[in-house]
This record gives sequence, C-alpha cells and structure tokens, in this order.
Amino acid sequence: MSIVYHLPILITVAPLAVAVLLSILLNLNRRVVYPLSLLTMFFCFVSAIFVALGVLKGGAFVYYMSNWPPPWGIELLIDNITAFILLLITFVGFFVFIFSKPYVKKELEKEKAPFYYILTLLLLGSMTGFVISGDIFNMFIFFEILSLSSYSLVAIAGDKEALRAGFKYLVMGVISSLFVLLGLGFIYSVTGTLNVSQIASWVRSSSDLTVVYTGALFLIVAFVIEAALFPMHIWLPQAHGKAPAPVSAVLSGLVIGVGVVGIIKVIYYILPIVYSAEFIILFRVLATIGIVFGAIFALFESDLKVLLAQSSISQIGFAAIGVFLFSYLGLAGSMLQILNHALAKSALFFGAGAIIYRTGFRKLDEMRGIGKKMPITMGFFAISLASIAGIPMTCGFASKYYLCFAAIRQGLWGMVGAILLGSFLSILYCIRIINCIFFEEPESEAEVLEAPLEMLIPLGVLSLFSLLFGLFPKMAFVLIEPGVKELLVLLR
Amino acid sequence: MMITRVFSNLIYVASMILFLIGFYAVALRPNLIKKIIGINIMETSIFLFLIGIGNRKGGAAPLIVDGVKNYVNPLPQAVVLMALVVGVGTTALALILAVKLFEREEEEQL
Amino acid sequence: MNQNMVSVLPIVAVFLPGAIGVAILFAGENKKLREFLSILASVCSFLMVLAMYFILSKGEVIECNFADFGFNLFLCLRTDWLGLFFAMLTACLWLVSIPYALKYMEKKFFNSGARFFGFFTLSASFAVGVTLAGNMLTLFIFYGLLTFSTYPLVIHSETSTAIRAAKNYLIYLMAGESVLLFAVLATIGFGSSQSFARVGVMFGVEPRILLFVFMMYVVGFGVKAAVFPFSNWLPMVSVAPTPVTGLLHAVAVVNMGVYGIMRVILNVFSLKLVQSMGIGFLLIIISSITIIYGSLMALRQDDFKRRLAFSTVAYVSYPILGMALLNPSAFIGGLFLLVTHAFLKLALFFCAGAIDVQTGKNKISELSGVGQKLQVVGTLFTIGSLGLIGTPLTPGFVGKWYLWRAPLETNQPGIIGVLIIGSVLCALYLLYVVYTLFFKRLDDNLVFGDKLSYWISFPIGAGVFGGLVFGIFPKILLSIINPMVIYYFGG
Repeated sequence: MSIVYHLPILITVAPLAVAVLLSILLNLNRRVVYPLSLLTMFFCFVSAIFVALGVLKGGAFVYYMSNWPPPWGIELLIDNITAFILLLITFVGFFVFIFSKPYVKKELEKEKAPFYYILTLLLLGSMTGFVISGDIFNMFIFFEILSLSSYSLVAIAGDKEALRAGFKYLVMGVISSLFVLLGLGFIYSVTGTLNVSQIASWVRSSSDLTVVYTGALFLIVAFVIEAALFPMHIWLPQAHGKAPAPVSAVLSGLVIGVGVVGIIKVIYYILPIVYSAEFIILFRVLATIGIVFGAIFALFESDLKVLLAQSSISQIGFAAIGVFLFSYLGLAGSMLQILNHALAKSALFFGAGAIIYRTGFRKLDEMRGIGKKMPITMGFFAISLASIAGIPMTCGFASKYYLCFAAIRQGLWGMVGAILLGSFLSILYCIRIINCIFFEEPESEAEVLEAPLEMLIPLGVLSLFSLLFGLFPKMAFVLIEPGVKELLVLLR
Repeated sequence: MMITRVFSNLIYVASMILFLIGFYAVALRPNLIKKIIGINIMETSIFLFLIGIGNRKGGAAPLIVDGVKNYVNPLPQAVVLMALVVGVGTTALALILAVKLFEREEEEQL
Repeated sequence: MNQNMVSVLPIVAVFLPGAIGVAILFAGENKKLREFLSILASVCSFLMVLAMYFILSKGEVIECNFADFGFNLFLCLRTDWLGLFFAMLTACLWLVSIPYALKYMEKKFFNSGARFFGFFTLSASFAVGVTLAGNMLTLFIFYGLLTFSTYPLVIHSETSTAIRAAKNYLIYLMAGESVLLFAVLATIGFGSSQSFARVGVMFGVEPRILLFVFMMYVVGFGVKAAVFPFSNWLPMVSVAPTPVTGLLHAVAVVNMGVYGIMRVILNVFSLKLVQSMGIGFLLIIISSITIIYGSLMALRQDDFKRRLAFSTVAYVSYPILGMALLNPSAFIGGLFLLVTHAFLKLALFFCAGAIDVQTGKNKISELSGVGQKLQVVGTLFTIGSLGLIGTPLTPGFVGKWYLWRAPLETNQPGIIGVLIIGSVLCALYLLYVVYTLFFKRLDDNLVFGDKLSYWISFPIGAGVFGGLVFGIFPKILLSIINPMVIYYFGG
C-alpha cells in the first residue's frame, strides 16, 4: 500500500501530537508555537489533498491501526465523504491559522496566545479524527477532545460574557457527550461490538431492534445538540457570538457541520436501518422548523457576530434536512450546504473579525457605512453573504436548489414551503446587513484602514471559493457524487 | 411481577434514577457548582450503566488466572476508564470557568 | 424548419457586457473610463443581439448549454423569436438610455458613480440574459440576478425613503421569486423535458397540480409584471434615479415579468393545454383589474414619476391580457403595445427627469406652464402621450386595433369595456399633464437651469421617434412577430 494509506491517521495524529509537544516547548520558547502549528495545518491540508486523490483513484479503504483487526484494534474508515470533509476541515483550518495571527495579537493577552494556537490545533485534529474513526468509542473520545477544546476556546477571552457562554456550551456539550456514551452502551449491550461495520452487519441481520433504536435515538440526539439543530440550539448564539472571531469561524463553519457528519455516521454507517423508524420523521420536522426559526432570530439580532451565529442555526438546518431525506438529491444538497456553510460562514466571521480588529465595533448600528471605508474587505464579505442568502450563481443557491428539488421529488410540500420561506428570510437578514454596511451614512468621518493582508487573504480565498462552487458545482461533485452514492448503497 | 423485574435490573434502575437526579441539578439549579456536581452525578450514573452491561453473574475480574472460567466483560470497563479520565478533565475545566466567573462578578461588585 | 446551431454567441452577448459591468465597479471614480465602458457595454450587447437576429432570420436557432449541475439540471441559453424580440427591445432601449443616464447622473447625483453604472450595466445584461434563457432554470437564475443587481440602483440616493423603498422592493420581488422557484422546480420535477418547446413540457400531470403550478407561476412572474395585488412596489421605487425608473422599472424588469408569463403559457404549458384547462380566464381577470386599478391610481397621483409608474402598472397588463386571450390577433396586439409602451414610457420618464433637472420640481401641480419654456421636452412629452393613448398613426393605435379584434371576434363585450375604460383613463391622466404643461400660467418664480444638454434631449427624441416609426410602418415589427405567431399559433 502506498503512503496515502497511512496519511489519514497522520492528519489526525499530527495536530494532536504537535499540540502536546508545543505545550511542553512552550516553556522554552514561545515563538515556535505559531509557525509550527501553521506548518502542521499546512501539512494536514496537503495530506488531505493526497487522501482525496487516493480515494478518488483507488476507492474507499479501511485502515487498521498497527494492523490489529477489529474488534481489538482501532479502525479508520476513509471513503469519498470522509475525504471530502477532511479536505474541508483542513482547508478552512489552515486559513483560520493565517487569519488568527494579527487578530490574536491584538485581541488576546500575550500569555494566552500560545494556548490559543494549541487549543485550535487540538480542535481541528480531533475533528478530523472524529470524521475518520471507524468505531463508536473513538468517535466518543475525539468528540470529547473536540468539545473540551472548543469550550476553552469560547471562554478564552476571559471576560464575563465569554465565560458565561463557555459554561453554557460546556453544560450542553457534556449532556451531548454523555448521550453518546449512553447510546454506545445500549448498542454494545446487544451487538457486543463497537466497530462501525460490525454493528452495521449485526443490525442488518437482526430482527429485534428495540434496544438498537434506543441507542440510535441517544446518539442522534447527542449529535443534534452538537450540530445545534432546533430545538437544541440554545447554546449556540452566545458561544459562537462571544468567542474570538477565528474561533467562531471554526465553530460555526466546521464544528456544527461535523455534528451533521456525526448524524450521517449514525444513520448511514452504524445503523443503516433507522431510516425506517418513525422517530426519524420527528428530526426531519424539527430541522425544517429550525430553518425558519433560526432565520427569524437572526432578523432581530443587533450584534453582528451573534446574528451570524443565529443564521448558522438556520443554515445547518438546511444541511440536516437533506440527511433525513435519504435520497441522492437530498444528500448531495446537504453536502453542498456543508461546503457552502464552511466556506461562506467562516469568511463572514473573518469579515466580522476584521471589523473588530480595525474598529472594535460589534453592533450592526455602529458599522454604518463601513463598506465605503474598507471596500475590499466588505466586498468579499458581501460575496459570502450572498452565498449564505442563496443568491443564484453562488454555492448557497446550488445547495438550496438541490434540497428543494429533493423535497419536491418526495412530495414533502411543507418542507418545500419551509425551505423557500427560510431562504427568503435569510435574504432579508443578509440585506439588512448589506444595507447597514454599504448604504447608510457613517456616523463618524474617521478613516478606517483595509484589513491587513493576513486577514484579507483568508477572507478573499474562502469567499471566492464559495462563488466558484456556485458557478461550477460540478467541481464539488467530484467527491460528493461518489460519496453520496456510497452512502445510499449502505442503506440497502 | 413488576417488583421482581425492577429488582432483577436494579443496577439499571439505579443508574436511571441517578441520571435523573443529575439532570435535575444541571437543568434547574442556577448554582454553577451544583450544576457541576449534577454533571458528575450524570456521568457516574452512565458509568454504572456501562459496568452493569458488562457484568456477568458471579464473574471474576478480567484477569487471566488459572481455574477461573467466568470473567466479566472487560471492554465496558475499559470504556469507563477512558470516560472517567475525560470526565475529570471536563470537571476541571468547568470548575475553572466557574471560579473565573465568580472572580469577574466579584470584580464588578467592587 | 428550424435548425439548431451551437454557438457561444448568446453567452458572449450576456456575459461580455456583464464582465464590463464588473469592470466598471472596479474602475472606481475614473469618470472617463466609466463612461467609455458603459457605452461600450451597451453597444456590445446591441451588436450581439443584432448578429443573432440575422442568424435567426436565416432560420437557425442558436442554442448552447454552459453549466451542467448534474441530475439533468443544466443552464442553457437559446435564441428563438420570442426571446430575441425581448432581447432586441432591451438592448435597443439600453443603448438609447445610456447617454441620458450619464448626463442625468452627472447633474443630479454626485456619489458612487462607479457603483451606479456598474450595477446599471449588470442589470441590463442580466435582463438580456433572461430573454435569451433556454430553460426555466436559467431564466429563473437571471431573473433573480436582475432583482439583486437593481437593488443598489433603487437605494442609490441613500435617503431614508430610498432605503425603505428598496427594502420593500426586495421583499416584494423576493417573495415572488421564492414562489417562482417553487414553480420552476415543480416544472422540472413533473415535466418530461426541460428546454422550452412549443408543445410544452407538462405531460400527464394531474390537473389539480397543473392548476396549482400555473397559479404559482402567475404569482411569481406577476410580482415583477406588477399585476394588481402585487403592484405596489413599482410606484414605490420611483424614488430611484430616473434612468433606473425609466429603463429598468418601466421597461426591463416589468417586461421580464410579462416575458415570463408568455414563456409559461407558450413553452411550459403550451397553448393547447392552457386552452383545455381554461385558466387563461384567470389571467384575463387579473390583467383587467390591473388596467383599471393602475389607471385610476395614476389619476390620483400628483408626483410626476409616481403617476407615470402607475400608468406603467396599467399598461404592462395589456400584453398579459393579449396573451391570456390565446388568440393570434390579441397576441400581436399585446406585443405591439409592449413595444409602444417600452419606447414611449421610457421617453416620458426621461421627460420627467429632464424637467426635474431643469426646474427641480417633481409635482405636477408645480409644473404649470413649464412646457412654454421647455418647448422641446413638452412637445416630445405630448407626442409620447398621444402614442400611449393610441391615436392613429401611433403604434398604440395599431396595437389596440389588433387587441380589440380578438374580443370582437369571440364576442366578449366585457373585455372591450375594459379596453375602452383603460384608454379613456389613460387619455385623462396623460392629457391632464399636457394641459398643465402648456395651458396653465407659468409661475414666474420658477428658476430654470442652463440649456438642455443634447445628451438628455436626444434620447428622449430617439424614444419617441422609435415609437412613432413602428406606428407608421408596423410592417417592421410584424416581420419579427409573424414568425412567432406562425410558430406558436400555426399560421
């Protein structure tokens, strides 16, 4: 087997190992922290490209750690969907690191900066681990690392609001991870294994599924909390709104997307029979309601970052309904939406971060006319906003289009209505922001500089990518199409 | 009938009751320390549940000793061990957050 | 009869001006460059459309697919006679209005010229894109882009009224577009094929669903065509700079709504299906109400541009009425009136803008006797008004004559009544303005600007002239309309 075979585990282990290493090196030399972590992320990104190419060429593969077969060893599962998500996480993660440099320097105290980078590395590394791991127990462990590092990152600023948001997030997160543990226990008690594919084959051949359904319910609820789907979203606006901007970009752009991937893992990989259970319809309905409600919350929010966080609730609802539709179109729309949300919402938080960096403004009212003062930054910001709103020719339009089409195909008219209403409302809150930053008179004449290059590049690249995938969705489908087909094969 | 069923599954019933107690503390108590205690109670209840799954009547500890045939399942125990570690970490973090919050609030009052 | 030809010409016709529009956005405050690019874009688009006209008149339909979404969803541009008709109209009037826009903006607004002309060019090229779209999905996408690109134009003055108007504009149109997206998806979901075809694409669909989808289309396109319950946005956006109200909101945007309804009836559902379902009746009622409602509201307005905007609401419903009658003669009449309206209403709006530039007055009650001073503008306004009312020798007359024939043949006195009332009201609200301009006493305190620039008076003249040519020589227009009639109505 070629080196590609070993790369996925490296993508996970490298950031975690470097994080541990750095926390030791920290005492010797603080300066190495940033370059080393940036380098690690770059390595991960390049490796993810190779993994994606390898999967495209050679198909999905399974990796046994130190060649121990399951149920004793640890199994990694790499297929097109995981390769796609890996690529997304490392790509956005790399730009998060580039963006963080000036932001952290200005907004965080000096002694906190190295810990910020270490925690971000842990967060990104555990996310990749969660995506590729092939047994529930590892998923649980990575989920815990992910949660712990994100609680700390939310609270890292150390002011009262950030601490409060962090604590709230922690409480919800702990409940969520305990549910994972509980679901894991239920499933183990009947199947006798924690390995994903073994559970799947047990489930396919078994007839009494009550216990498995219970376990599945716990697992899905756990990931629903993590993905912040309605009505489990209450922790999200504060946590994502009060965290440092690049952290919000990771949390909003990637972590809740990974929550949706968790749901996909439960429904498609681990328990490919739950799609026939009645309670799935409940989640479908909740996700549909979430689309509309999140957008309504966002309409009345005055703090820009909290507004963006509220909109995440609605956007991730779009990604989730596709998962609960169990059709090619729905899943493809869902994947596109995860992609769109990762690119555009991260870029939006970068933009909000750039405004905070230059002016310290957080409220929408204070930002009047800022688009005239920093036209390039806000121009990219507007492109991402268009993608979130789902304006034609952006990635957001493509994803919503697919989801709507899928719902029509399956005759779910209520869902079609909710999708259209949700997109309509998202256009409204996006227009509210656009109005404020471009068309209203600034309150003061003070000059504001463009964002520094380290901030402008990530913002520009991510927003242009969301435009690119909107113009040529086929490019994204290189990985999405075979991946979604693989998922649907699992269901049969 | 009901009573015997409850008694034969006593460990699960106990863990469920513990879980609910913990959940009550987390969800309804405003005091942060009580919330943290609630989290710990919930965690413990789930550990109990997992150990209960792996238990076998009259089973010995999963160590290879001559003449012992009946072991309890070691895997849930391993899971619980890991989860314990994670739980300690979470509790520590939660306590730090609570202490910091307390300090900030005191600063404000002064 | 028709051959299909694959060519990138439609793509160039849409995206080259679009790219120039983006370039204008980046040109910044370089005024010379901006003016040059704006003119270049409109000339480009005009020449492309003209080239396509010659190809089409040789009997070849140009078609090209350019973005494949997979799953049988693709974007495609295609020129047939109906599309080209609207494309020519848009490109022509775009060319006419650019000099006016350049001069007007220089006189009235001093901020953000790059933004204005960038989005002006973009929206005009998206309007051309709508007309050249080859399937519903493409049409919808350009249609949405048209809405968004006109938004910065409506809000241009950045006053609180403008911001409120722009917000309402977007809410109206986006609500319409959400409904439209639903209808488009339902069409693709239920229909058997996607490209526009004469026989329609809705086969074997349950009548209930057909009716539902049709209603959705009527609402979706109706919002843009400003039919009765959804017409309030149009007068509201008359706060935008006059070139925008003139070109986009009297011509491009509302015409795209009409165009969409025509496409739905002719290509999505097919005439036969609509006839058998009897749903044309619905459109007849809606458009009749709109004609009378718009005319009555226009009578009540004192604001010059608002009066013209309500007149637009009324007038745009004539082509819808002509389409809904499902009769070749009414169809021809409708298209005639559409062209009349496009040219003349553009000229009338430009007259209002010119008077505004010269006197700073927007209210009709303040314009007593202004025509005595501004004779050129006043005269052109009078001729334009007569054309819209439908006096002989104007295209309005020809159009109304064709339109009247259909209800006369099929004996529908109600529609004739609507047409008569519409014309009488139209005469009232336009001639009252003419009366004010020429026969009321001039207010001596009124201050007039310098001599009117040719850049402003010439486009007005061109608009009126364009309208009159088709009135005197209707053959020119008929040569484009006839192939359509033959294609859809079978001779």
